[in-house]
Amino acid sequence: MGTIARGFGITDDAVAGGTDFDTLPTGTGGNLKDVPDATIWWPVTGGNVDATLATLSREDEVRGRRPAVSPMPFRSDPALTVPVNAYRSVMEKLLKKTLGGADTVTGTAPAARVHTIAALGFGSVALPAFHAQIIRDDLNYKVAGCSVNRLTMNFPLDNFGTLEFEAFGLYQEPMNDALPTPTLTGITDPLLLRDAKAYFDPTTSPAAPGAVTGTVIPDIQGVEITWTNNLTRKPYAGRNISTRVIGTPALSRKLWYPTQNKLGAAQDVTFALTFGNTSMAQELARDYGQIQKVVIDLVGPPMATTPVANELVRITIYNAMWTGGGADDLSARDDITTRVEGGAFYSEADALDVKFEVVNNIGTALT
Amino acid sequence: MQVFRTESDFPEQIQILGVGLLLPHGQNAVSVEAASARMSELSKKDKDGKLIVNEQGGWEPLTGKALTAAAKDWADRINGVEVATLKEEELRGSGVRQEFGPEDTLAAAEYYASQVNPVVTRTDPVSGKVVAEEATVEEAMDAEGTALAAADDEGGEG
Repeated sequence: MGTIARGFGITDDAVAGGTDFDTLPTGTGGNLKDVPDATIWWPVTGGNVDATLATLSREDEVRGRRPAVSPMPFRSDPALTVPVNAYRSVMEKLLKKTLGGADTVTGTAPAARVHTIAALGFGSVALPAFHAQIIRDDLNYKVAGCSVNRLTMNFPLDNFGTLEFEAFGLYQEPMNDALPTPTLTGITDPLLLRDAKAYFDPTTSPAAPGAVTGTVIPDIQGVEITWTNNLTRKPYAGRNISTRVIGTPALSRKLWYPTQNKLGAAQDVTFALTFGNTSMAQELARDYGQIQKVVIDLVGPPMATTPVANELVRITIYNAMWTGGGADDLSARDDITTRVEGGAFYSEADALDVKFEVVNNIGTALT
Repeated sequence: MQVFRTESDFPEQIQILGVGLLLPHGQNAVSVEAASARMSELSKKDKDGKLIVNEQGGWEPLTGKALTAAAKDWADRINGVEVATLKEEELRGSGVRQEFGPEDTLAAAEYYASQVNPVVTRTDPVSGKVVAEEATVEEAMDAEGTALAAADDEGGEG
C-alpha cells in the first residue's frame, strides 16, 4: 500500500561544482551511493526530475530476424526543474547558487543586514552546489551535485512572484532511505509585483536599503528576469560509471554520469518589462539601442529589526538595452500595452554588471 | 526536559512539519520526546536503515541516550536548530509545547506581531477619515471599534 508523502528540499554540497558519483560514499540499504537528506525545504508548486537518458541503438544491425535489437543504456545527465513562489529566503538562496560569487554582508544587529551577491568571474569555474531531494509519495529521488543552469524570476500583474530554476546534477537515484522530516525556515510572505518599484536612470541609487531617488516608472505591469549560466555537461572516460545488476535473469547495466557541469564562459541575462501603456521613449530606446540603468525594488514584509525594515530584493542592471518587443498591435477594442525585451550586458561603469542586493536579518553570509 | 528550539541569535522561524513551530531567538521550543513520535530521524531503524514499524503500524520512537544522540545529530544538520535541556521551572512560561495543535500557528502570528509592531493606517468606514496612523494592531482595532460604535449611535438617532 502506498504512502502519501510529498516535498522538495535541498542541502548544501560542500564540494564546489558538486560531488560526483565516484566521490559519494558507498550506499546502504540498496542504494548505489548515499546522498545526504535535504535540510532546507521549500513550499514548491511543482517539480520534476529528468534523467535525460541516452541509449545506444542497434536497430540497424542485420540479425536475420525481423525484430529490432533492444537498445543499450548509455548515459544519464540528471536535471531538475522546480517552480516556487518568490519567498525572500528562497530567492536569496537561489541567487547565491545561481550567481556563485561572494556574498558581502553589511549592517549590524539589531538593524537589517544587506547581502550583495556577486557573479563568478573568470578564474572560477565551479558554482556552489547542492543536493536535491524530491519526494513523490513512495518515490524518494535524490539528485547529487546540482548546479543551477537557469533561474527565471517572474513578477506578473495578478499573482505572487515566482521563481523557476533548472539545475543540472551529477548523479540521480530513487532511494530506499526513510523519509526525512521537512522543515520550512524563513517562509513568510512571497514577494510580488504589487509592492515593487522600478526606475530608469535613477538620480541616485545607493546601496540597499537606501532609498533610490528618481522618477519611478509609473505603469509597470510585469517584470521578468532570467539568468542562464550555460552549463556544459562533461562526462569523462572511465569516471562516474554506475553499475546495477537488475532483472531476472540478472543483467549488469551501466549508466555514465557527468564528472562536472562546467560553467559557461559567457552568461546570458535577459529581462522584460511590461508597461500598462504605450511608450514613445521606450520605442526609441529599442530602435537606437539606448543604454539605460534599471533599478527594481521588490519589497517584502517587515522584519523584527531595529529600526523596523522590510525584506527587500534590489536588482540593478547597469547596462540594459532592449533587443525586441514593443507596443501591442493596433486594435479596435483591446487595450494596447508595451512589452519590451532586452539583455543585461557588460558594463564599463560597474564591475558587477548586474547587482542583486538582499535585505534580511541574517548576519552570516549566504551559502 | 530536552527540547528543540532555535539558536538564540537565529532570527527566523522554523516550522518542523507535523511537529511544531520554533520561533526566532529560541522562542516556542518543542519537546524532543513528543517530536520522536512523529520524526523518522528519531525512530528506530534496522541495520539497512529502514524504519521499524510496530504492530499498530507506527514507528518505534528512540528512547534515552539514543534519542538524545539522534536529536542532536538532526539538529546539527538543520541550520538554526539546537537541542537544549530545560529545568522544570524553566518550562513554565517558556512556550514549550509538549503537545502539538493548530494553536502553534496562532502563537507564531502573535509573536510576529509583537516583534514587528506593524505600521497600520485605519480608515473610519463611515467618515473616511484616518483614525489611527502608525499604531499597533490593537490600537488600530480599538479605534475602528469606537468609530463603528459611534456610527451605530448616529444610526439609532436617525
